[in-house]
Amino acid sequence: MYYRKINGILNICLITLSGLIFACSGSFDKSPASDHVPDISPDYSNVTIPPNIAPMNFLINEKGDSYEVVIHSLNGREIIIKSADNFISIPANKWKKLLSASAGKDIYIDINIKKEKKWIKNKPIVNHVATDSIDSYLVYRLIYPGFEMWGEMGIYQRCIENFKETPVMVNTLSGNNCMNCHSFSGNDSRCMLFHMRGKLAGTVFYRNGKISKVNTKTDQTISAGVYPSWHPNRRLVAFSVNLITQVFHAVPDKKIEVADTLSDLILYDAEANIVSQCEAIASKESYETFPAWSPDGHYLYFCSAKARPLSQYDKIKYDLLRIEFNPETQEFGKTDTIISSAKTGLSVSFPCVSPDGKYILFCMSQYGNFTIWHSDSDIYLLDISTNKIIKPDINSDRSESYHSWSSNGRWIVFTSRRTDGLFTRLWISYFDTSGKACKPFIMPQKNPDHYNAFLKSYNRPEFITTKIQIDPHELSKYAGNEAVKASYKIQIMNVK
Amino acid sequence: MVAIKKIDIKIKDLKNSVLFYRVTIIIVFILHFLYFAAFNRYHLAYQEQIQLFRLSRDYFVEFLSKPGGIAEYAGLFLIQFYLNSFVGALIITLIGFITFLLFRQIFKKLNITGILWQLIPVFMIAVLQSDYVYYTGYTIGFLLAVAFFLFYISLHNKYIRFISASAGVVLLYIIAGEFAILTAILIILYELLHLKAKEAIIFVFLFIFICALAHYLLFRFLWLLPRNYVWIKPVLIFGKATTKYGLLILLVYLPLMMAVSGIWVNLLNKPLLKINSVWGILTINLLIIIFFSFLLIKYVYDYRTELLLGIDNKIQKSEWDKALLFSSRAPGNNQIVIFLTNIALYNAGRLGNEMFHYNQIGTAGLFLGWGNETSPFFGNELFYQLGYINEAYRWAFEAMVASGPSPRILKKLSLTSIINGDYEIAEKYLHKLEQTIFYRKWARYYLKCINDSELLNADSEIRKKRHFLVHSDFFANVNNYEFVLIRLLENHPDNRMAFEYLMSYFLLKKDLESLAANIYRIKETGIKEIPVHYEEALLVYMAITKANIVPEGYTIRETTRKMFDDYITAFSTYTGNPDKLQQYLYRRFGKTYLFYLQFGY
Repeated sequence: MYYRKINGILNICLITLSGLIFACSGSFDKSPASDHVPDISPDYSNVTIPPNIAPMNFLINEKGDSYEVVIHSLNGREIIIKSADNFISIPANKWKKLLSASAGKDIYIDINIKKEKKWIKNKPIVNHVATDSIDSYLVYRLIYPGFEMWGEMGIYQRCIENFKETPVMVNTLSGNNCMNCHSFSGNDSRCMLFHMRGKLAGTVFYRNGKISKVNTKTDQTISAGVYPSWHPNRRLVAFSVNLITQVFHAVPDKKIEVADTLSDLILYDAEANIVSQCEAIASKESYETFPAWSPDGHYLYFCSAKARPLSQYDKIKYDLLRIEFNPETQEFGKTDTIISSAKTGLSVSFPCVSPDGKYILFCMSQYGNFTIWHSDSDIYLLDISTNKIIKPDINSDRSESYHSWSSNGRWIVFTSRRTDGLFTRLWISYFDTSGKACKPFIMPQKNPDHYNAFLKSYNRPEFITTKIQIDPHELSKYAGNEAVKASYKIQIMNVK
Repeated sequence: MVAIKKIDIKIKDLKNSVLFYRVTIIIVFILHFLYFAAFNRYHLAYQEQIQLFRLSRDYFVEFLSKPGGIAEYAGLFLIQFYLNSFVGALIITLIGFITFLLFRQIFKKLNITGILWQLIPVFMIAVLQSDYVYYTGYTIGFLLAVAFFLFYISLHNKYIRFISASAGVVLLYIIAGEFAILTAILIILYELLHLKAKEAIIFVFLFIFICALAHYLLFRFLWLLPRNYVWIKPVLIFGKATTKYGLLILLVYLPLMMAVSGIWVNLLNKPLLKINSVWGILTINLLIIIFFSFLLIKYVYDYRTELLLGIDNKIQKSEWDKALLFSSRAPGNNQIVIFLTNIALYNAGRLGNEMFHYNQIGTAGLFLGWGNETSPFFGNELFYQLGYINEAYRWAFEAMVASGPSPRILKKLSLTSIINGDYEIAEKYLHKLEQTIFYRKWARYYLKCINDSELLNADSEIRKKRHFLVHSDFFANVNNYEFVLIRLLENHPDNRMAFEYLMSYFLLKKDLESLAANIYRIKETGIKEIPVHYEEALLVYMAITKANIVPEGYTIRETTRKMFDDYITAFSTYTGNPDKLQQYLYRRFGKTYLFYLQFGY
């Protein structure tokens, strides 16, 4: 929050101090470069980075008396950082200039380490700077990766061009309630929603410059809206409605199982405040969840599994389906199975269509849909034109879960527990025009040791192109209001 | 001569009154120390257990995100020393003494004399500090507010006073939080009632405007907190009446004294409560001490909570017999007391033989439900001891989510993570503990263990718990612990604690059928003799079913058989008032399972 400002000032003081100490150590000669590439954390090596990313500060995980880091590109620009400790903080302005001058080219990080009065020059770390920029803001929820209780939580927006993180909404302003599932229409911060739970339950919408709070639970539907997806027309939102159950494992390698005991989809019309449903998206025999619109709004993708009792939780496997939709008449049409779990043997979750409509990014795991607790969950890519599924080389042996696309479709952000198996972090990968996802890197922080100490998880990352301009105090006023109840309408199917 | 004699007497009286004053102060603060060191030592120790002070920049910066964060930070710094209750008592006494000095100085400037007025705030803080949910940070906030007021009234130049008041109160709001409002009220009262300068009204209006503007700006741009809540937060957060009203009295005390003295002293030109007689002073002083001591012990001191926290403290130190000594003194049917008592009984090897020597409330005394925020804090201990590590981890994590990281919970999260082989997660918790003063050594040892498998395997705690790790999965069930205990025994038939808790569960549930069906498991637990309470239950069961279900190789003690016969005889031959039967049997058999079976929960 704001205290990070103060943290930043303290950091600068420390860095300046360490620089002064280093400056007093005198001049030095460097021996020829070795073949050794120093180990740094976070791992910012061989990655493709946006030309507008914040400085990628890092720690050098090798012992030395002092350190010199030279970051440069082939066009001659360079940044020299001298440090008495292994904490490398890159000056923001120089970094920005270097990246903008290096778009489409490689940059090199030379790490020289002084040991026993002798400088050792190492093989440089090479990263590539993409020409495609990344959306300026990432929105996520910060929360303890707990089980049933929650404490302080909030939805935050982080400018990834620098380190500024500001709250969108925090539960200290709303009676410490739970809040979740923030969602935007087409990466636009001016069209968003998020849910409030507990005493202040309701979905807060911000669209057309107005804030409203709606109760999307009707007598005919299972619950209020849960997982959302905005239709590109910014008027309609497809939600899942779920009865979610948690159970807790006893064996060491598993902790928790989160499963639906009922779930359907609903369509919410934000203009008319009407919830509607039809058999194809709300079958009693199936669990439907995770809606995702195609960018043209003519298809709704979603996951569907045969309904089973909770005792068969490990046999619940979700297919990826697609249903036609007519935005003019707001009618659904024919349903297709895009990925069959019977064929893959795996369960699909979190489908997310690329902005150009060519690809679907999704998760697959052995069973179920709450993939963050499934260490086998990986991210996959479906080429819609060829129906070919590939597993991009961005996964780890731990859980990869929620993901989203940047507005230009060139960047993917996803959650992963790869660092320790519990605390979810955000990873960013470049997605090139040939459909290949590059080696991901963790979202940079001012303090490169941040993730080792931070006990909260980064949850549900969403790119937005501009900053959300609503003040949290303003949002909290609406969040505290009584939610307006939505009315219900049965949809007539129009199967071609 | 007469005049000289009179002067001599006056000097002697003055010397005596100073002496009595000093003696009173010394006695008050010795009693103050003893009250906390002897009567509240486990309150203090518990406070240390539920908070975490880390020597880290990130940790400090967190406190800047709310008004009063710095006072809270200072309070938490002091609380870490409550690990030793005597040091804790000393710190609280020192704080009490500082309170006394501050009020003495302020009252001197306001021309309010009398030791009573100076001791009232000390007493009120002692009242507050007797509640384990009241943190020293609040007292620090209060003292900062009072100290600033003292500084303010020491200023003579009105312009400097105005600038200091405006800037100081804003700064104080950041440092001491809501207590700055107290200072603002005091300043206004001082200007209006005591100084009565011509510009006082203008000064007060300007001052109020600056305070309101600062409040708006701070909440608009610096803090994300509900504005209305913050004004009255300290009073609102305490549920206990003595604490709530104690704090309220403490907050209104000085403004009230200012108002009264402003009117009294200035109008009548007489000090408040002026006693000329030396012996009168002595009597008053003694009465004050007796009166305050009586109030504290009679109405404030929370004996039951102190016992509960004493049991908890001894369990954490594995001093089982000492824990049971506290349990034997604990009146009533407090669920946490009984829950902790049963843990101590098991560890002392006395659960099966003596559980009905202590109060029991059915199966609720064996397991805590989710209940409230404290349940996971206390409840995780049982699962840990049962070797049900995932559940211990879950409850400990929930305790952290509900109330923030604390040394006990971080230790439990570290240990459970290590036992489960989640070393990277354990490291996160251990690094937090490494930043503390008193847990650093412990954390470094386990950090070393993580990187040294030999050292880790040699650690008896880890080895013992790993032996009971669950390998055949099942789901936690807080509504059916019979299911959970049987699953634990299926995983490890030698899990003696799971067996004893299962048997206790059946005893408390009065489910003799299930107890009889599961008594065979005793062989695999290594228990050589059937515990007395099981024998009692088996005798009842066998008397009803006429079946011999004593496991092969085991016998029932003659003493138990005799007691059983005596009970039956006493019950069947009792001829007195049926209403008094229970009392009669309680006197003779109150510590037996038979009595519980007939009259218990």
